[in-house]
Amino acid sequence: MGTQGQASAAGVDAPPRLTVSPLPGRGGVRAAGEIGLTTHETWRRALEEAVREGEAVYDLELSEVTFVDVAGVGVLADAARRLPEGRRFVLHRPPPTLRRVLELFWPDLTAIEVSMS
Amino acid sequence: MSAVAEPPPEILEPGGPAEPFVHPALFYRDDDEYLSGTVPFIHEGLAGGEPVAVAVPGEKLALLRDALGTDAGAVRLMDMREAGRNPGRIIPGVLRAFADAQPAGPRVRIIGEPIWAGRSATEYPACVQHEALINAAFQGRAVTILCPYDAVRLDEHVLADAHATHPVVIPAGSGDLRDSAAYDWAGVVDRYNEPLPPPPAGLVLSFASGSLSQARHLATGEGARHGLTGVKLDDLALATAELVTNSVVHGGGTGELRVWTEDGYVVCDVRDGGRLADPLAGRRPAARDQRGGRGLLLVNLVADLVRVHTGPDGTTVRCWFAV
Repeated sequence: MGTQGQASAAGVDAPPRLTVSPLPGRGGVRAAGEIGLTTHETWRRALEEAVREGEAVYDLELSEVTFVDVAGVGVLADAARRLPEGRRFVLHRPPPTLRRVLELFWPDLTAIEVSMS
Repeated sequence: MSAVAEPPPEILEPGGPAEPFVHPALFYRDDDEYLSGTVPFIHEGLAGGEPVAVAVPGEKLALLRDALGTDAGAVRLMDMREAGRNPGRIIPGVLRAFADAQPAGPRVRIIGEPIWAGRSATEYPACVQHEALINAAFQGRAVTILCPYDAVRLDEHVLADAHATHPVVIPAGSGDLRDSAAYDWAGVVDRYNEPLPPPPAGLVLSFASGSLSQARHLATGEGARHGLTGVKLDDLALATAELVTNSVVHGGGTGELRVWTEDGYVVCDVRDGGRLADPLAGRRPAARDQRGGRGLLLVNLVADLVRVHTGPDGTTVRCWFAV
């Protein structure tokens, strides 16, 4: 095995992080970081709580989320499907990968609204 | 005229009633043979109230559209060069996407032409494995998928393989449906489970659970440097993330990622120590409420070509993204 161009990242790079904090003054949270294998549990717990909240509109401020993988969008779709009639998630400025996966696998989920503002 | 003596349409019952799925290869030498092998098949379906789809290369689509006239409006027409560019996408994204959306009851008829002269040597193993796996994907379903093969322009070995991937064949100009003695779809899947050509010397990243983002950034950095932008770059990010995550979860916890360019494509190659036991992995459409299991399907849906080699020594998934 040649060493030229070889990069070993195992144990060197820090795993991706995800932080979730409440949005002041309205129902919703701001997420920041990356949604992937090592952060799915944090994301899932945040959305579990969102489903239990009572607001008609639950805001997910995602402008500081840099990436969401397919399973991460799956957790969101699963939570959205369990929202009672009349309630919805509004995603604010989600990363393009999230919109792409929604379009591929859950194009007609009415309980998810995407806002780019 | 007798009301009872009409033989059933032969094409529907080649091997007796035991297997409802019918998968003939239709060999044609020219446009006339093409049309006489396909147009009556479409008309029979429409006359019987059956849903009919046609997924063939654009020039054949134009030929059929002209021949069908106003009936073309009742048929779902797709350009296979686009919809089926990656052969691994055809079962979930074209064939089952159409068949699964139809009401229960009537037989579903599809004409699917995934192999045309001009498919590259790199694409071909994926094409022929796709043809073989159709038999597994549709077993037990009242569906007929008729696959035209250009007997003049395709290589001999391709025509021979079509006899192994189809239980029944219609020889050129004959109109007769015959059992194929060479039929052995599982043998084809194994035979084309070939080691991939060695990757060029270049950047290699050994990854584990802590370096999944670094792996993705390596791929998108290279992809952007070589001209991928917008959705294509997002697709490369998504596919890389799914492949490296699969290695960590199912492939022994670690793997190696390589990214390079060849012939106008960015190529992403992920290998690990696991073995892919399910040949239909990534080829089943996901049910809406199914929780996981969409990783390989995503890769098939967004890549322009996916090749897989799996065995006791590990699994390599290589995918191509056109720049």
